[in-house]
Amino acid sequence: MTPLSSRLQRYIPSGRSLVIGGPYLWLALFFLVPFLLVVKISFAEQQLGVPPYTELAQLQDGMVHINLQLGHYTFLLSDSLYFATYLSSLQMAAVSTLLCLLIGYPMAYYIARSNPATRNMLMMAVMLPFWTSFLIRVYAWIGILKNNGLLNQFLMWAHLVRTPLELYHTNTAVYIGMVYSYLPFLVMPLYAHLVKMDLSLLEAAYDLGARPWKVFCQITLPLSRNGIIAGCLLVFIPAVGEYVIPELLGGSDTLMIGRVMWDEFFNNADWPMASAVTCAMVLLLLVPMALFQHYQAKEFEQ
Amino acid sequence: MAQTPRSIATTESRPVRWALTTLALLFIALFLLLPLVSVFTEALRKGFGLYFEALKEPDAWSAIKLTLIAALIAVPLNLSFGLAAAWAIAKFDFKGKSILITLIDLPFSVSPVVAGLIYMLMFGTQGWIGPWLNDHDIKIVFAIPGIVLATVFVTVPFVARELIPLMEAQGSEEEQAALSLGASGWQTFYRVTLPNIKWGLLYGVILANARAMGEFGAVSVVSGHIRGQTNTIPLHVEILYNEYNFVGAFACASILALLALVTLGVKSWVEWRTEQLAARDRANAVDG
Repeated sequence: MTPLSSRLQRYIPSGRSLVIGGPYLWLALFFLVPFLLVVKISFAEQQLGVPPYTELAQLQDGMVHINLQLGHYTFLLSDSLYFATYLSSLQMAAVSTLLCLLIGYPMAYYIARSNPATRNMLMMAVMLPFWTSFLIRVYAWIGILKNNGLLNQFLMWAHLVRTPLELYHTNTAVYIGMVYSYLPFLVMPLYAHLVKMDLSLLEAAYDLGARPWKVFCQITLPLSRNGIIAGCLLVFIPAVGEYVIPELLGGSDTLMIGRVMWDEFFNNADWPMASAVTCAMVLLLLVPMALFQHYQAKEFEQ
Repeated sequence: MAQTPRSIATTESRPVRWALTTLALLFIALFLLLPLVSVFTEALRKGFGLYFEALKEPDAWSAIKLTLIAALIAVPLNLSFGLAAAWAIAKFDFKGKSILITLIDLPFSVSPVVAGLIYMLMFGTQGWIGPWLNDHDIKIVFAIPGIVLATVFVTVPFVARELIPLMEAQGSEEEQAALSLGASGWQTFYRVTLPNIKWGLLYGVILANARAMGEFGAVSVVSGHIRGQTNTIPLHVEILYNEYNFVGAFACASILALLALVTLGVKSWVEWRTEQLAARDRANAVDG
């Protein structure tokens, strides 16, 4: 290597620092900066005009006046409706995730265990719905679930029920919609883990006389743990903020935080309050996640 | 990995296997495919004539084009981001690693509505740098860049989230072996890491793509709903549905599924052809 090129080499960042720096820069630019703006607005006050919120810091007569409006946060804490909405969002997301896991695990397991040709076909079937718009599939569920919809027509025809089941505009419909929409998001990560599992471990366990159920609990389940965690996070986190499904399938009593934010912003034009609702939600989700990851990293090191 | 013949021990007993099969197939059929079938039935309810009439609608095509553009930009960007982030997190130790992991989930933990709003606050006419953009005649919200940004936002974590656990479970022994045998960083990545994660990567991309093409909340906020210009498929479908043009709505949504099926057909045909040609070449080589 000539001296010049070696000197140049020093200024070109190494592959390692590029790989680490790239994601940081990407996240900071597109997500952190805009998000900090939201944090800022959440401490401002609503006003009529452009922009519809007050500035935090003002320079007046050589003095910097800083106005931090904490009212939105204290209001969030004191108002029981917001608290109930957060709680119900978390609960809806948690139940949907659990249902997805209960349905998705056998699916992923079966697909991973079938022979390669069938495997690809089944995975295609899992992915196929993605090719129609998500929104139209929610509309399709309305057609299935409404009082004179496909499901009720079938149930009445089969004489299983006498009066149509009230599903549309209830929480049950929201659960059905959520599980349906998010199921592939759980099946795929799980499948990616299950398909790579070393089958000889199972053989060894059987050779040592373990019962099938025990083999599943002690080998398959722990080995697919990471897949379960990845899948559940992919379902749970977006489900908490879901807007479309509760809006279209849910009733007026379905409380979800995504809907509250939409109303705050577009119907009340209260940007600071909407920002505060957002920040509280991020705190509510990210803090437990960070703790979980911290705990997991520690366990990994041990 | 060589496929070892499966022993009786690792296959489940017959009733368990049977129950699993039925359960899995039932759910795929009823739960995943039934709504899809109902989309096509709704689209064809008034006959093929009206269906094709709806397909010819220029607004529908411009919505499809815009959706594909947004997905084509957002997915590769997030693919490279997700790969780099997952690689950095799983294989290196560096300061602030836990911050990076938490930041990855940030776009997920805000509602998609907020994802759109964030960009409105930044680039909207009343937003942070809105006036400056206005002076320089740059349009971001209510135009394609805003839609792309919102799409990027909501699809960020998919690839990384899918890959991190996979890469962590893999460890870095194989990479270290490759490096100690004199492979370069890039070679190690291409020859060792990539083959190990290819399925996870593929599913991450598919999920990101699905979300990119289906996103409603975030895009709805920044799009401005200009028919034929800034409407993506979900937005266009919503308008048609609210106008009680059900055939149009379902037809518009079915086009991509139709395209996918055609692509799939072409792909299998091409694969079949290449295999045949390769077989013929091999035969020729043996003869010659």
